[in-house]
Amino acid sequence: MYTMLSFFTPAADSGLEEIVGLINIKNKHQPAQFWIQESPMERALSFIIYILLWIFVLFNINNRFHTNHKLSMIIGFITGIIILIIYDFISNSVISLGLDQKTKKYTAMNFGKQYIVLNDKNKLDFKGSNGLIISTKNYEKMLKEKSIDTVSLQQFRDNQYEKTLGSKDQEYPLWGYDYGNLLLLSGSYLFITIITSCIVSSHHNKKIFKMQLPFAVASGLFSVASMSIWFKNHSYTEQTIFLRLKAKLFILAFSFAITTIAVPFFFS
Amino acid sequence: MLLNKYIKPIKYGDLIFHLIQQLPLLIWLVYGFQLFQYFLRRKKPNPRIESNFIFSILFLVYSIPFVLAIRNIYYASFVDDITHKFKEEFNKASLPPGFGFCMNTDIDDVAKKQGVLAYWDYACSGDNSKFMYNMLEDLLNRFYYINYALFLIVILVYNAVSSVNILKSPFIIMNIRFALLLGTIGCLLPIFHTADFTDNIRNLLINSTWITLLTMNTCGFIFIFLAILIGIA
Repeated sequence: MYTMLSFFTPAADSGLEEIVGLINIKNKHQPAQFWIQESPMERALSFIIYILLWIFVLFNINNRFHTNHKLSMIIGFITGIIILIIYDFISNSVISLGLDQKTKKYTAMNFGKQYIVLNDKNKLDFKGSNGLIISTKNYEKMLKEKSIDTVSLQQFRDNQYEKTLGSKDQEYPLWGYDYGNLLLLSGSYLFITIITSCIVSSHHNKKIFKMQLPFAVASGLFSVASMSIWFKNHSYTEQTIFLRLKAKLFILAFSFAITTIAVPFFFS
Repeated sequence: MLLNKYIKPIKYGDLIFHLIQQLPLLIWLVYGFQLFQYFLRRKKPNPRIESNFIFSILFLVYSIPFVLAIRNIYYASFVDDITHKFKEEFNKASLPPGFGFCMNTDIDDVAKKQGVLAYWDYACSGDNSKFMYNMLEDLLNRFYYINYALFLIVILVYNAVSSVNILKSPFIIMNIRFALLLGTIGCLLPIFHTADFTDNIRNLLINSTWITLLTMNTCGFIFIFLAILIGIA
């Protein structure tokens, strides 16, 4: 089982020393996407908000519909929590993967940050579109010796990029907008699927339909309505934070959707 | 080897990669169990299902996800990519055409002295990201088309006269429930699409896992159509 999980080993337990990526400022293929790790507070908060929103929905269902199906609700709630844990783990703790041209094998890495090299006295040879991978220790040594001047990709995107308007030196930077759009698309597909389930239930057992309806509505609220909100972002970091928020709301919507879909399975 | 401290090959990486993709088949096994139970518990025998021919078709459709899974593992781990001859290869990555190998640990001596561990081709990474994004979009659309077709069928027969009202058939209801469950899980795909540039392999793994789910959803959909055509109640 350990080998099955080798693609998902926690970086801290991998025994690998941390490495960083260096990118030449002239590289015209700087990554369009990058991820900012969440703080422990932010991570804990997502779980608290998830639980609070579930309580809010359940409280209103009890007041308004006077009906529920406990087992389906437990299944939906636990599924959501599990997905939230997996999302949190993949986004923050897991090893990075690479494919080595030399050996044609999958490789595991403990990848730290990526830096744009503004100035270097070592005359690092980037060879066109290449970036360089070096150990964090080596990078810190270079900084100490002042033989290299760098800025993190995050800082670069938030400051330098805005000043230069990207121009020809960066890859397509609108990945975040595309991703947000996909979440909305996926949310609307999710809603159509659960509505179909509700229609089928309403046809042959109104009791099941009554149990499903509040969760279907809650799912629609978080999968379609909240995904449609357009946040005007002032920086790349802000955009990443809002995307993460949307992804977590989508997980909440999914947990309600699973509750809706699960109800009919307990009735013949 | 010093490099192993920083960049470590994953043992049996390719086999693991292709085995993980087949995990959704566990849901398909549960579904198979439900189908089996349905046929055992039927009160009125249906001569149409009793025929070996019809039963063979149902079995054939049910086995599609398993056949595709075995085929994938066989071609990935037991066939040489270049010679197309039988060869056990559990470590070498076998990936879809168009997916690039972006890291290179084959570095020159000057770079080695500077402490460089590997080159990373960012143009290649950019292409992989676009490839994975398009694949994700295609997969989502396919889930959508299947479930939208299901939605239309349900709307169409909702008020139909009882002789053609397929929603009264327990077999069809069971299949619709499963198809909808798989469609719901299918919509979760974008969540696991991480943005980290090194993670295109993990994105490919997740996309490929969802391909197995899509195959299962399609087979569930075929079951519904067959049930309507054959008249399984």
